[in-house]
Amino acid sequence: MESLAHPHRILRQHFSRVFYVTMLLLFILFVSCDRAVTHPVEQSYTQEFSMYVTGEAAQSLDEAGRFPVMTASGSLGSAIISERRAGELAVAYVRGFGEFFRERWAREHGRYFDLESLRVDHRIQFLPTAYEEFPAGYMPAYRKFFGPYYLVTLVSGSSPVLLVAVSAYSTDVGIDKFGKAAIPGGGNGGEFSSYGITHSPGGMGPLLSEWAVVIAGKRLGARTSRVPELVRPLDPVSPLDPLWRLELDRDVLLKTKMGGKQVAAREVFVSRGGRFFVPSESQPPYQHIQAIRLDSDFDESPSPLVIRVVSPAPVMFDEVVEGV
Amino acid sequence: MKVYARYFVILVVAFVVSACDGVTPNKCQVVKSSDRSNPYDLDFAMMFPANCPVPLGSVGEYKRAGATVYDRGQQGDFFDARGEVYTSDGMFAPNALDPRLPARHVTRFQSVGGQWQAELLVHYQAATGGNPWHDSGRFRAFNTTDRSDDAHAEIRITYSDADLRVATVGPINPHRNTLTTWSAAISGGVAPFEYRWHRDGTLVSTASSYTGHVGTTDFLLSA
Repeated sequence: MESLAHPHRILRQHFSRVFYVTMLLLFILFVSCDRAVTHPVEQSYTQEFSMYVTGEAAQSLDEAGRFPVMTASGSLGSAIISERRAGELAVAYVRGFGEFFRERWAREHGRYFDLESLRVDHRIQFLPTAYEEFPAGYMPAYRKFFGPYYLVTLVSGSSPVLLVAVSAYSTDVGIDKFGKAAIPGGGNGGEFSSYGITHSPGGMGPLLSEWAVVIAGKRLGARTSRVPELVRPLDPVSPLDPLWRLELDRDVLLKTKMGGKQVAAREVFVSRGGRFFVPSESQPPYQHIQAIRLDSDFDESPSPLVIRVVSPAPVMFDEVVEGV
Repeated sequence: MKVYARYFVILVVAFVVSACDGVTPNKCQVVKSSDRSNPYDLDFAMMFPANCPVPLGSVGEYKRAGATVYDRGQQGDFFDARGEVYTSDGMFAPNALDPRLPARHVTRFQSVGGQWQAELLVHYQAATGGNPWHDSGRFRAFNTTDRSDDAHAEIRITYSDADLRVATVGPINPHRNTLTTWSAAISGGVAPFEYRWHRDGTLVSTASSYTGHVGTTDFLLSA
């Protein structure tokens, strides 16, 4: 009996080995594919979103049930590029400089993604500046840094993977015959900055006003009554880290993270990571900064100057947490 | 000291040399970097170029440099990062849109997701090996004092061999009275190339190959 059973055992062992190796290969394939990953809240906001909007906000939803995007408005002082051009430049930036930032993007996003297959999400948001037009006599980079930006989301498959801030003043940036961004020299800068979109809770998630509304609704128990606006806090906060301004349908009680001061707020500001902010008691009318003058040597120290803050929206914030 | 530490400069310096023939591309050598315990520590996530030796460019070719620099020290100490490209073709590498200007880039340290980082981008005209006396290039970051105890980092850049080697490819003993073609196989150097074929000292072609009638007597062909 022993001798008859033996071949079966070998066969069973062999089959078992093949099975496990196959399963292992399938698992490796599964975890290594750049498959579409959906943000946890992205999955839920579409189902729950309508519960958390009211009034003007509810009436402003488009056919897909989403808010309209932020577009350029008001007096900008200088010529700006269009949103369509911003999208083209974002792709050209990835083609031109992606080789240098690919590893960082992968670290920020959580995995590598194929740069060649990235496409522009049609919801390109305009982020207004908080400042007056930058004074003349300084390297042109500063005009861009302190000016308005377009925020372009690049998508791999169906997953947002990279957020690129494109200066709205990038009228001097070209695209070469290889489709790569051609950036002028001579002290320029500020044309682009980028950050990989993470899909971990609390991280730098996709730029979604609907997501911010759901977060506020769930955690604060209030509905959003006006279309959310993007607000850029004062420098040195990057344009990649803006806040969604939400007007709520009732006051909510919050407390400041630093100091634990109790605050009753009708308006809250939500970061991409889902943190809440309220405007600081004092909003500065100007800011002291340092910038390199055009008539100085490139490696000289920057000169101090003062620029006016003209934003009608708050620009300085205190982080708050729910509950008192 | 604190005031000085609030400011630093990054220079991306690329000089052209001809000393690295046959060297397998590898990480560019880090000459020195800041002490991790330095309170003004800077961390280069990606330096240009990552690998050496760096190939020379062609005439009219543009290249790009990029780096992410993190401020791991006391946040908000640094305002600006600056990138600049030097090549041996001139004191500065002319930039893409205005060849009279050096390729320079200024960027600001900004807070993104709680990290302080600066993203440098430089677009410049490639060096073609014009002045071979520099034996290496440098990528540097330092603050205004550039003291050894301040935040700084430097890598050494080497360049691919620019020496031109030409070999003629074709039959050494062709059949009599036939039309035969020889071509030039090139290694090293920088495109575009000019070709000159001499048969017994007489210029017979300026193309990359030469086709001639062999005849019945020996001759010397050189490219």
